[in-house]
Amino acid sequence: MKPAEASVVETSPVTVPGVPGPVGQTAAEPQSIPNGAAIAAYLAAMIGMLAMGIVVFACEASKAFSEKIYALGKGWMPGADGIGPYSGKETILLLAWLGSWAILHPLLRRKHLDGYLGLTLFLAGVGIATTLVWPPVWHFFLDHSSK
Amino acid sequence: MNGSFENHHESHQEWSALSLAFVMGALVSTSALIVLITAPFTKILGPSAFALGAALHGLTAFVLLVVATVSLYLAWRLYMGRIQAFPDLQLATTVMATLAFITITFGNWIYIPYRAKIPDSPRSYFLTNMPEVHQVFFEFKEFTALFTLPLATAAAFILWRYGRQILADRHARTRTAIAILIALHFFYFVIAFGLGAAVTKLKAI
Repeated sequence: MKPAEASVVETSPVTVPGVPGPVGQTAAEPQSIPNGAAIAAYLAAMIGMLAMGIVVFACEASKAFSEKIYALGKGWMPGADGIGPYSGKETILLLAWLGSWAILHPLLRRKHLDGYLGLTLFLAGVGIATTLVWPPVWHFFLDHSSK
Repeated sequence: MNGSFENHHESHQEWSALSLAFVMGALVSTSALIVLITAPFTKILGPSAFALGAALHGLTAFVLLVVATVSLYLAWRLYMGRIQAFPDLQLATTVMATLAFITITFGNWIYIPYRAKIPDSPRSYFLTNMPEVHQVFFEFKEFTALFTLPLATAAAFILWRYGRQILADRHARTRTAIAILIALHFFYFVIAFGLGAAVTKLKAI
């Protein structure tokens, strides 16, 4: 067991509200895992979604940027010629998601963090990502900016 | 005595699950064989060169709809602290992530004929006759479909990494996060599934 994890030993049987009796881990079982790994996992998912949302919006705003994103997808994805810049947008999602997870996981996995803050950040990011991929939003902003 | 009963009970459960899988496999294989031998199966797929890809995309999406619905219920049980089928949720989220990946892959494949630069492709048809279908609904669907993969993967990862420790009081917020991940996966998937079905009804590849 790693030193940082040793500081959060469960000392009593674990119970779940609504379930009679102990469920899962007791003091005799392995020590509790800090919540950092979970927060890293869902924040990385959000970062991937948000990065793609930003790129989708930017591609609508700039043809030159869209071509660069297309080139990124064509660099590795089979059939990218047929699906156009969508291949690059998928690539951005994968790179941002898995890349940020690879960074966040080792940074956070031994820490017990504020789950409320993590969830708030996650939901805010997912909300922005969803807004950015909703086409009427592109049309609204891009139509107004071109006037 | 009690231990012997439990062992017998466990082996019986294992045997039952295996036999159920065997019976299902035998039924599906037999039915598929009879259909393939006796019926013009290729006719129902349609004449398109991408008919098989479209059928597989629809099939995996349909199975994902079922699994995501089961997971949504189990996620609610987890959130309420009343889950008993915890291993089922671990398995279901893993299947969700796998199916999301496969469905997206087939989706990429059939996106090629959708956006082909010919007058009869669905994209060309929509842009000429009803542009909003492509410019709003299809564009939104193709991106929300991608959101399902990281969400399901994160949920499955957390459930496997923490195991039953997630049921401890100190992980209440993490349980909430899992429930939200699964609910969002379901939300984005249903958008993609519903709009995909609607677009296909208007103009198939």
